Amino acid sequence: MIRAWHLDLMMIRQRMLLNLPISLVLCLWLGLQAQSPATVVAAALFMTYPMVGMQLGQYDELKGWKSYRMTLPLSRSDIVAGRYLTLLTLVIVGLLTAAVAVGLNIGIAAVAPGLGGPAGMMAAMCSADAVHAALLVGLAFLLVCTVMVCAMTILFYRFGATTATTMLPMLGVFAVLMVALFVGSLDESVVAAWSDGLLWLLSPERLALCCGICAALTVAIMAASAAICLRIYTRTEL
Amino acid sequence: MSDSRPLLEAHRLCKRYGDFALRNVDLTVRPGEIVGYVGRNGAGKTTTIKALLGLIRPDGGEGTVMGAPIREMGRSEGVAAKELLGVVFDTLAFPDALRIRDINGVLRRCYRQWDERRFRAYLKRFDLRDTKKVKELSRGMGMKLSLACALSHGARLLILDEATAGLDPMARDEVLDLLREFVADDGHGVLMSSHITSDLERIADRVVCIDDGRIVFDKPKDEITDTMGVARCRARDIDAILGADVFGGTAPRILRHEYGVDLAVPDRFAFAEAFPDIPCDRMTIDDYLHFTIKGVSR
Repeated sequence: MIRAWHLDLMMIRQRMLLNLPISLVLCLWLGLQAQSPATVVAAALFMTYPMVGMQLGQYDELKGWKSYRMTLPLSRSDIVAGRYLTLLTLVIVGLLTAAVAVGLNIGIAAVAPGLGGPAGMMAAMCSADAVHAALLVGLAFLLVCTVMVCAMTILFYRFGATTATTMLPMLGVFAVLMVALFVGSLDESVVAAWSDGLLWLLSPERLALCCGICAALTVAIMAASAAICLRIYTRTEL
Repeated sequence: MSDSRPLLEAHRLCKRYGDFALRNVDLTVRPGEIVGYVGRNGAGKTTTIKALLGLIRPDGGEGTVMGAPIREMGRSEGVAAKELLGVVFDTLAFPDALRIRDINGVLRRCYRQWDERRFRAYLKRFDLRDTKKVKELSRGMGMKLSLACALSHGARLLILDEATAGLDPMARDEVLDLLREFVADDGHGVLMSSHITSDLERIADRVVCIDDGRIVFDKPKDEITDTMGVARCRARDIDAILGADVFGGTAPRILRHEYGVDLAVPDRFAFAEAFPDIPCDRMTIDDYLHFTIKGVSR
């Protein structure tokens, strides 16, 4: 599994090197604008996890890499497990990028005028409420991204990386979000329900419960997706 | 594994894809042997190799590669066998942006017995700088790099699928030299699928031909090129020749063309003695392929 993980990292190395500075700049900008770690975490996760994860499947199709990889001392289960380890690595890289961006935001606030100074930025970014919000938003966003990436990975293993298999999960998730927003905007009771829900979450115990549910669902979806991919890939002809 | 056991063995391998079917393919590579695998485009060479490597699942038949059953090649049981296997496809599979030194770094983590010094020695021999990116390599350089990768982890069996196609004669020479050196160790063997039969004439010990999914011959190369011959006859000579005892009990194969008839003879020296007036040339692998696939039997 570790060998397959190394191979995946090799494949995305160049993409990551290009992606990291862009991701960092975007997070810095959003952090300075919104002064909220939740925004930074969401942006950093999106820029690394689904964006680079999507590329992974496409690299498999290049120049007979899929076939050549199977001639290396790896089993098919190693390859699938390595792929999911790579996806976890992307999540960690995304979170680290967010942490670095928050730190840099505070540093920038210390030297740039008009941003409230380092203490102001520290208060905005590192207060208990801000951290709680970042935790909740981050985990919810991670769950949504995981649904998207895992669906994409299953489709890649089953049908290969095509435009359809790349776009379908992304469009599906966006469509669900858009419908939710549309319905919410039509009916005031839905908006009120959302507000009530958020207020209900203000208690630390409920917040922890909600975060736990998001994390558990993320892990469960990843595990189920890995099991499906393994089943598909052991039968796939290369 | 004892040295006398085949490095690669396939028995009655079958695979069906729509109109095409691989039918009862038998193939063996023994230690110390270079086996040339020839046939037309779409005859089933790559399908056989894919089945042997576990990339596709055969519908029937069995086989082993470095002692591991081919049906287990994609599972953990096949990993140890793949440590002893070097594979070269017709394209270099690594990403374009990668440098040669990065490939070294990755394969070092992949193979237990990766020999970095040997890899660097091959790079030096092939004049490949490790700072070069994959996209900067010509086809010949790419093939040499693939070979360097395949030969730097203690492989005992090399499988080459059209690896010399598109290389210039000088590059092909270098590749053939390398293969000769590789099999100089008796425990090593090579399966080489190729359209370039002149290469096989220079290095192969045995030639196996596949046509329309079936093995049509499996012969020692020397038997074809050193003993057999092509008699260039006139149509009116045919009956006299076919009546003579120069075919050693085998059915003679004939190729008719505009200016006469070519006849495959199993022993060109015996034929020259029996028919001194009829020119009889040395048989090439290409000739033998033509006789086998396009010729008619009498």
